[in-house]
Amino acid sequence: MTVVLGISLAMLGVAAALVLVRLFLGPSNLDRIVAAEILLVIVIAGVALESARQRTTTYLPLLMILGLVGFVGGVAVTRFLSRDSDEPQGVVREQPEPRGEREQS
Amino acid sequence: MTWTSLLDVAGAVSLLLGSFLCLAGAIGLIRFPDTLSRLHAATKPQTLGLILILTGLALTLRTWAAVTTLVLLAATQFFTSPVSAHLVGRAAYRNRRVDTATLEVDELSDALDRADEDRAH
Repeated sequence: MTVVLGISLAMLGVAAALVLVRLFLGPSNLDRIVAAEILLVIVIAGVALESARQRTTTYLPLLMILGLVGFVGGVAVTRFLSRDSDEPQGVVREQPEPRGEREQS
Repeated sequence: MTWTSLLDVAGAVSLLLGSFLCLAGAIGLIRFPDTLSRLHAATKPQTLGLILILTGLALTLRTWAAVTTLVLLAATQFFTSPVSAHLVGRAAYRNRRVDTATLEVDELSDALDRADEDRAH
């Protein structure tokens, strides 16, 4: 069991290092968001391995919270990045009302 | 071989396979050329790897409280990872980070063209 956990932890470490390289290289911020989400999944996997090593259920709420925080954070930052384009390309936006008409009404 | 040691071995194999899939996803993330293909590496192997690791943990812990929590976590991951991947793909398309020449099928561009034609009539 100890050997298996060691090998698994080593693979997770290499995976996290590769993801950090992608986080550093980019090239766009969307790639960085994807990399950050994967990094959080790897952290969840690492905490799960530690929980398996100690055979405790203490870390399970931590796993749950990490999963939800990863999702909410990723979605929030992605929405922020696609800021200007809630509508598809080529859609005619509503023109703002001219000021004179608004004063009359 | 007793029942508990069999479960331990199954759990260890699941943990090993899950870690390997996480590593495979990370390698895909570093090797693939553009955002959409990286999204593929980010969602599928990662989700399966995490589910395998959680299965291994459940097989190791073997209490009902742990199993239900882990099933909940796996289901959350299973349903949220496509949502965030879809949002990233959408943002990539709208910020024009997608090279449409490399796509085999591009239904979104066709649909947007058709919407423009309908509006013109």
